[in-house]
Amino acid sequence: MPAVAGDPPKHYPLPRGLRDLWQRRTRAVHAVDGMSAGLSRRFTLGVVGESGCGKTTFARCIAGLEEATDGEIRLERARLPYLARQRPMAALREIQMVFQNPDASLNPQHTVGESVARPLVRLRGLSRGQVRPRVAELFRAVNLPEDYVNRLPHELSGGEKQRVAIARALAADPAVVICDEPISALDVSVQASLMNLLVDLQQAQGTSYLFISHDLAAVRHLADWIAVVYLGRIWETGPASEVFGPPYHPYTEALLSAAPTPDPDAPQERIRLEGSVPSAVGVPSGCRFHTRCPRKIGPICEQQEPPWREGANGHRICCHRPLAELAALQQGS
Amino acid sequence: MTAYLLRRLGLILLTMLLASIVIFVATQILPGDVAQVSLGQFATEKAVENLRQELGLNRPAYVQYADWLTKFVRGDWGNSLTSRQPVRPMVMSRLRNSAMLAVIALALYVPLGIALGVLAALNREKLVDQAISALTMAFVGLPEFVTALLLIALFAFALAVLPANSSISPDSSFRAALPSLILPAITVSLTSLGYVARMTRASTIDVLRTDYVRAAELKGLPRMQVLFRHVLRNALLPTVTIVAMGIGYLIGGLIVTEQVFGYPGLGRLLVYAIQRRDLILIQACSMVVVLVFSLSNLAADLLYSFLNPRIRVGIK
Repeated sequence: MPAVAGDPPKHYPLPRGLRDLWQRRTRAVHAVDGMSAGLSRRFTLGVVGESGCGKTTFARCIAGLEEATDGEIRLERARLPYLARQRPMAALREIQMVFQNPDASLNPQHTVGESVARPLVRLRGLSRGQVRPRVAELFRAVNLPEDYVNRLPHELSGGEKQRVAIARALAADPAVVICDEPISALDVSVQASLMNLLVDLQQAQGTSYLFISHDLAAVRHLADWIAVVYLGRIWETGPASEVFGPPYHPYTEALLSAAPTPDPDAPQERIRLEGSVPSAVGVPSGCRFHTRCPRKIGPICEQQEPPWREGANGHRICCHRPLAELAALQQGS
Repeated sequence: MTAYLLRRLGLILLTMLLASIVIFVATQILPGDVAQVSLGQFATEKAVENLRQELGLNRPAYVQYADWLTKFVRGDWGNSLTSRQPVRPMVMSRLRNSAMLAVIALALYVPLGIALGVLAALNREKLVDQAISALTMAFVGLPEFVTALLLIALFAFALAVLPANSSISPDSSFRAALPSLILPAITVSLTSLGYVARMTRASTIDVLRTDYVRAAELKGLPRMQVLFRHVLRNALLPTVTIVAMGIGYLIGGLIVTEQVFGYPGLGRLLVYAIQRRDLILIQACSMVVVLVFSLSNLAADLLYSFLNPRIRVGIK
């Protein structure tokens, strides 16, 4: 039984130009289209893809910060309203979020202790007396000195601010924490310790993560299950072990080959994706990746939507090439 | 904090000194002088020369300036070159009038501008936002005399509830002057409203987009509480600066409005002094305006640091 499941398409209407008025048409940005994901308890789903692919919009739709155009967001069995504002308190409590930019995620006017205490009061209904020890406990859990509670955000480093943000997200003991690139704005040395912190907290509290990142190494370290996203859709999904080995979806293959390897002498053939991500207004026909795909077969890719192909252990790839063929091609290179 | 204040006050004195030099030099460059202007174009060369001698205008410029400065710092602001009356009571009475008008105008447009700006930000790109933007911008663009005349036509003639002429007597109390102050205050408010509303709208939109406001939403905080707890205090910082600049303008820059309503404010006195080349009066008016500008800026900075914890530490 998934704790949270979602399939919220998000289309942004474009401002209408003169020509659109003339031709009586409306156009939309298809930011997220056909992305389904489920999460069970103490589980991490990693969502990877390049910037602008719709990862963040997907996360915000699930959190209720943006209004999905269609689709369903379920918590346990109950269907949730699209906007957080309309969700019942019990549902709000279960979904919290850690944001990308540590400088913008804490109100500069409030002490960091206050920021962590607020969800306890709002969502758990704790009294003043109960809040203080719980805040201290949360600060200890995220490895921050307890006397930091009275500090203002600008007196903390980026990594420390992000620890506060994590403490705030976990304060009300939610079922799911959506982490939208929570470490990508930080120093590499700080990234590692924050990732370990997330893992430890998950062990202790049993929280599930929806972990969004463009950093493949981070996702590999944290995620049980991975979804690879391109132009607002999932193209490959499966357990981390399967996704990080052949057969790959051609897009995953390109992403992986672009990631740096620690050994400078290791032979590594980089796949360069030609051109840039196509506009989400005029999504390419057939397979959305065909304009840049290094493994394109021919006209079929431009005309037909590729089928889902089932691999081992729930591994699925959406491509016109059969898995065996992909594996053979990718073993060779 | 004390050191900071002393430094700022020292800078204000320096600003006033520099301003007085610039004004003095500027009046020297202007064609004609007070003797010529007072006696008119048909005066004989001899009469003009005698008046110059009498007023000490034949002395070298730096001697005249040094003379003015040494007296000014001792509190002797000098006599007007045209009316021969001491300028200080003249300027002070006008300053009081300008301040009365400024207080009413600020009380009108600051709260209204903030409210409209926040309302526009909350309804971003919807009809309410567009209506507020269009309306407030229209009044920014409309010359003050047009706004003033429209208000006079409506309130003084059509409805006949307020006086069209605001030439109050020099010693009238605030209460007695109040009816005469309303129309000029509305005129100025309408021209300044757009700036406050725009600035508030822009910064409110910025703050509404920050992640801490999103986090507040995820806590299920009602929209009004999000506004007061998280948005306003951060969003009003740039508005403080705009309002402070407005105070200087209200005290020394309301030339057109004061002219249309015949209101005896400082701005009109300054224009009168410039037309007469009355150097002593020009200097006195300008010094007061510069001082008001500087002090309101200082007040804005103090308020800013009070509202912004990041700066607060810097000046302690």
